[in-house]
Amino acid sequence: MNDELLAKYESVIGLEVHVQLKTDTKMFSRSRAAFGQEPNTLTDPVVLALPGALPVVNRKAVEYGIKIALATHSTIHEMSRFARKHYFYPDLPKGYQISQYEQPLATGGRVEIWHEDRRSEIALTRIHLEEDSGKNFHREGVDESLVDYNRAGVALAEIVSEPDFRSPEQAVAYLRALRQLVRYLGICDGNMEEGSLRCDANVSIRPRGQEKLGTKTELKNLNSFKAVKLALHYEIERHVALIEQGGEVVQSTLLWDAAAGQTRVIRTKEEAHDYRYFPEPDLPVLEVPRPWIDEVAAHLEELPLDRRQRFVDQYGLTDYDAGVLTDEWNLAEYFEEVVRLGGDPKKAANWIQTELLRLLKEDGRSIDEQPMSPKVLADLLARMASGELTGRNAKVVGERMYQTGRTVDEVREELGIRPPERDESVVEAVCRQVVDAHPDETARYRDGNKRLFGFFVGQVMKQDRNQDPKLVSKVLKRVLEG
Amino acid sequence: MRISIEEVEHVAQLAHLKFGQDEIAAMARELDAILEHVQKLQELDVEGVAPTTHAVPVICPLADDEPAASLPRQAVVANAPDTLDGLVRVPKFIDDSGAGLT
Repeated sequence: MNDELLAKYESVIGLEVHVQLKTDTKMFSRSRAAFGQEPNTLTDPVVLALPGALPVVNRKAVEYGIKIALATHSTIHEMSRFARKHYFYPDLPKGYQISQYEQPLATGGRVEIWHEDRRSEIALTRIHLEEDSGKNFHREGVDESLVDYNRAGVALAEIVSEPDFRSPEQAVAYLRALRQLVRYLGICDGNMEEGSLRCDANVSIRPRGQEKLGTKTELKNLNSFKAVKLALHYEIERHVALIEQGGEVVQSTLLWDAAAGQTRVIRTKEEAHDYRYFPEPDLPVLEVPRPWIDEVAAHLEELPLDRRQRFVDQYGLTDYDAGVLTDEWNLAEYFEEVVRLGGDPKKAANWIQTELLRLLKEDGRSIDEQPMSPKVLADLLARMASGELTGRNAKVVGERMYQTGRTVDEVREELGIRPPERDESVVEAVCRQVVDAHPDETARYRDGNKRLFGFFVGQVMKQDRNQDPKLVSKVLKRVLEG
Repeated sequence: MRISIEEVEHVAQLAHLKFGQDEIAAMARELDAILEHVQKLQELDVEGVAPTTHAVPVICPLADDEPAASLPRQAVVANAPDTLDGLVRVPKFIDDSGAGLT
């Protein structure tokens, strides 16, 4: 579709994000919650809705809900209520999901995001607690579904945004910020592939300048950042095409089919579920007293954008560097540990970004799997600072340390790397030798061809790789010009 | 009659229940009687009384996040109509969360 046509319309997007809370047990029972276990081994009578089983709320899940509400500046309600949401799917043993409806845990709030080099705020509608459903497997060409109840009852926080996004990219920026936030808070591992962070989107379009909102459609199954972006673009273009052809958008729910790269209608407004919400009679009002909120607030982790600002203020890093280093909580921790152990902040930031992150990327490893302890890196930086290792050698030694997990001294010995020669007279002897061996180049250099200087430096370094290029340059200049 | 046949059919559909025509008519009559009975509550003057869903003022008890033993899988799937490799086998359906879609 051509850009001119698309530019006539403004898209209006809102996201509903399900955050799987990293509790050891489920939302309403003490059945263990874990990913990747043998099917149907993590259940109990509450999870399976066996007669007489009653739900009991997980204190930690509520605490995590308070955390995310605090971190998003939401209003936490001291009284909130659970409700039953009814629908019949084989992955929902009770025939209803316990959720929160009219009185959620928290309302309002905002998430700060970086998008197009600007800090902006996305308003939140609500945050509520609920339970997950079981997990289903559908095999191609087989007319059956297989259900695993290990996930049934796992604690979720649903975070609903206002329709504040005007582009798919902005929605993705928000989702990234939210993922970073829940990881910083330690309440969710944010693993979209494993489904611990899931996203649905509402999208509509309207002619630019028009106040009234267009008919929206709901997109499900957006289980990666890429899926969110592609599905929203696809859907926006579909809406524009419909309207441009004189048709209209039908309010409906669609699934994103990542393999086919398109959305597929699963039901229209007429077929919309009637969830028959009503207050959960098995659970009394959830009380979150002010002192509890204060207690959680007192121990709340430093938030990503605050840490980023602190890195600029405290360590004199550029905002860009601070952004890279605070992107992942673990990386920010790693950096600060290196600094605590004596590493120069700017040098540490440089080394981590140019060397460590490059090596990790090449290996497809995450920062958690990096083999260089902060202590080892701090040591390497200290040797660089003292001049014991030249920049070039530090790079070589560092890479080898990364590969082998050995110390600076072990690697230096292995590679035969000595501290650079500090005695100027020794360096000068080598320089003279090189200059004498290249009379033509020397003559041309002295005639004004200054570019040949690099050639001489290279020749001198060739004699002994352990020399300090800075000292070599200094001495060489004197020899050539003196 | 306050409850229409259509309403009974709608509720039956929501509950995934199937009834014959005569059953639906009977159901409408019975639901009517129940509603009429409950209607009496409307006569109560509840001016100034806060809405309540529980008769007794109880605050939600909270449990510590300590795992307890799981049911053995054998017992879990024993109630299922059909199984495959420890999974419950059911007629194909499309789920909303999509997380299970492959």
